[in-house]
This record gives sequence, C-alpha cells and structure tokens, in this order.
Amino acid sequence: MKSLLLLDWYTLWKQLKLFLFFIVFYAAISLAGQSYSFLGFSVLFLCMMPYYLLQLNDSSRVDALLLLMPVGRQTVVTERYVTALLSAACALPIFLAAGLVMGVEAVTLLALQLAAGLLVLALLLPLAYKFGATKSRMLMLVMLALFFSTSGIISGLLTEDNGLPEIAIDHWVGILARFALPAALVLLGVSYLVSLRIYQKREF
Amino acid sequence: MNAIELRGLTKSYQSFQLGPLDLTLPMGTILGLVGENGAGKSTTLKSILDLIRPDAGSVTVLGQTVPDAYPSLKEEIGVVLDELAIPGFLDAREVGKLMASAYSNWDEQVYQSYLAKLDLPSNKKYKDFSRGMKMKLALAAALSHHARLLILDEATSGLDPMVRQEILDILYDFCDEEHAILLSSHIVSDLEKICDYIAFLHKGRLVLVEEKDRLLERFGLLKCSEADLAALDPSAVLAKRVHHYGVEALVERDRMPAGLTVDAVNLEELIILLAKEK
Repeated sequence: MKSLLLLDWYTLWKQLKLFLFFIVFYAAISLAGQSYSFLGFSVLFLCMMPYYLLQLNDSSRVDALLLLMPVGRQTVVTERYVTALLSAACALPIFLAAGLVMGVEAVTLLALQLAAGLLVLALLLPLAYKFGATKSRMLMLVMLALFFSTSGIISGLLTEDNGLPEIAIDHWVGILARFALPAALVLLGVSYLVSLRIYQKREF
Repeated sequence: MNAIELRGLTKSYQSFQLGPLDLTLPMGTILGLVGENGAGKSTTLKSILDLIRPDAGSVTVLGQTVPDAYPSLKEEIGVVLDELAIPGFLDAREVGKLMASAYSNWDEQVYQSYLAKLDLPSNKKYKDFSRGMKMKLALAAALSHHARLLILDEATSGLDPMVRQEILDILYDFCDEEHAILLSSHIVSDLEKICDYIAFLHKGRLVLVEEKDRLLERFGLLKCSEADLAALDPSAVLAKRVHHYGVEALVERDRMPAGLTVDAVNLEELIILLAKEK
C-alpha cells in the first residue's frame, strides 16, 4: 500500500499540479465572492482525483509494473478507494470555510455535491477497471453532464424565486443532504467489491 | 530445486493457443526461450508472473505454487519486461524510492552501485532515457532486491551491441547455484552466448528443450545433393533448405552414415531451419 500511495503522490505532484491549482482557485474565488457556483467544481475535482490517477496509471501501464512487485491485486484496488476517501476528506476544509462564510445552506449544498461526486466515482471506477480508462472516459463525460445539470437544478431551487414554497424545498434538500452522503459511501463500498471482482480477473 | 516448473500450461485466445507447455528451469541455470514474434514467449512469461491467467496447467516458482504464493513470492523475482511500465515522469532516484517501499529486502547500496556501473543519471526523467538506458534501469531495479530468479522478456532487443554485451555480462555474473534466469528473446546470438538451456517455442508449441551444448553437438548441417539426402533415414533429417546448387539439411550427427561431412551448426541457423520446417 505504501508504494502505491507514494506513486500516487509522485503522479499528483508531477502530473496533476494544475488540477490541484484549480481546486484551490475555484474554492478561493467562490468563497471570496460568497457564491456556491465554483465551490462545486472544487468538490467535484477532489472526488474525481482517484479516477484521474487511475487514468494516468492506465495510460502508462503502471498497473502491470505494480503487479510485478510484491503488490497484490486486492491492494491495488483497495488503495484506489482509500485515495477516494482521502480525497473526499480533503473537501472538509472547503465545507468548514463555506459554513463560516456562507452559512449552513452552503454546507448542505456542498454535501449534496460531494455525495453526487462520490456516486459518479463509484460508478466510474469499476467501469474503468473493466474497460480501461480510455473507454470509460466517454461515460465520465456523460456522468459529469448529469452531475452539473442536477446540481444546477438544486442550486436553482435554493437560490432563485421559482414560485415553489421555500419550506418544502428546504425540507427535501435537508432530507437529501442527510441521506445522500451515507448512501454515496455505501455505494462506494459496493463499487469497491465490484472493482475487486473485475480486477482479480483482469489480464495485462 | 527447480526455479520454474510449468506443467500442461495452456492459454487460448481467438486466433492463438499456447501449449500445453511443459518446461523446467533448474536452479543455477539460464534458460533461453526463443521463438519468432507471436510464438507465445510473452504469454508464457506473463502466465508465470500471473499477469494473465492460464486456462489450464500448473505453474511452480521457486518450489511454490503460483498464483497462491504471490504477491510475497515476488520479493524473490526480478523482472524486466519488453513493454516497460515505469512512469515517464520519475527519475532513477524516485524509481529507487518506489522500489524500496515495495520490496522488504531492497538494497539501496546495490541499486546505487548499479546506477554508477551502468552510467545511469539519477536525476534524469525516465521518459528522456534512451531505450538502452531504460533497459539498464529496469535491470538495475530487478537486481537490487536480492532476487533469486530473474525473468527477462526481450531485454536486449533494440539495443546496440555494446549495451547488449553489458547486460549479458551482468546476467552471466548473476547466475550461480542459488540463482536462475529465464530469458526470452528472438536475438538467438545473445541466447547462445549465455544460456545453458534452450527452449524453442513455435506457434504456441514447445518444439524443443535441450541443453545448449548438447543441442549443438547433436545436430549438424549437411550439405549435399537432393539425391544423397533422399538416401538418408528421413527421421534423422529435421529440416532442409533447397538451393540451386544442392541441399542444406539439419541432421542428427550420430545417425549419419560414415563418410558424410556434417558441419557444425550455430543456434541461429538451427532455429531458423526448424522454424521453417514446422
């Protein structure tokens, strides 16, 4: 596991610096302007980090190298999901800052976006293990489109004068926020088991 | 103890079938796996390393059944594959750190000595290395965790003669009673220089496995007319090449009638003739 985390760190630092910059940049402009719109990007980028790492590994066939070393297939998959959890945990400072600057409503919205990001990841990782990162990229684009349209609708419901009773919207968003994150984590667990099953049979 | 034992190893693809393959690599020896492109050399090596799953048969490495003994058994195996998978953004120093975090018996001193010996810069990115340097780095990494078995796939292909010789010298020094090497290549002259055993794989089938010296003693090249060849026992003639001036035949020396001159054959000629015949 240590070698995989080290490799991810090297990859992140050398290949995804721009990616890290955008996470901080979007969070900063969003908090400065007290607007939700760009915070979602930061949260989404964090959620998608393990997928981008997998993509880079896949394109340079790093998995084959790892499996020549004393690293088991289960460890390779487990590390990817550990990275997902670590990555999601990195969203906590963004939550905290959003709560302080924009109030509890912003945290609710971000929790929903984090859950949606993890859900996309939970669906994407097994597909990437099954079909390879290149083929799964198209599916990722479809899922991201769904992600943005869903967050757009929810954000619209929260912020615009849409004629719907405000109490009812808050009620449903509150319920969603309460259950979405645990549900996304459960799905990530299921996704891990599916990925493991796929990866055990994969040939290099 | 045998370093590798394959028994009835089979792997099928849509247009290709490997095996059933029976092959033994005794400890303290170097076995050269030779065959044309697509003969099944890489499939065999990948089956041994559990990168692909055989359809049938068993694989034993250093006395342990695989894949059950993996991943811990991989501590004892050094691997250099043709399709290199070291990320291009890493330099030799970082490759060393990565390997050190994976292998419990990683020896940084040995690694550094190989980097110096092979003239490899520690701060140059892998993607900027020449093919020869990439192979040398992979070999340095494979030799720096006290492996007992080395598995190399086309490690010398595409390299200039001096780098090839450098690599062959290192491999020759590595192999003693406690170590073994399985080396696949289609550069037969390299295998002839260092191998104790030769296994010839052709279209997924193992055509022959024999001690190299015995192989070269046993077979010879007979140059004669077609009429003279027809008079010989056909089972003693393994392959032939017809020229406008006569026939060149690969024959079993011991079974030739007295009076015929049978020339020595080198491994490359032997393999080419056998491949043509099969």
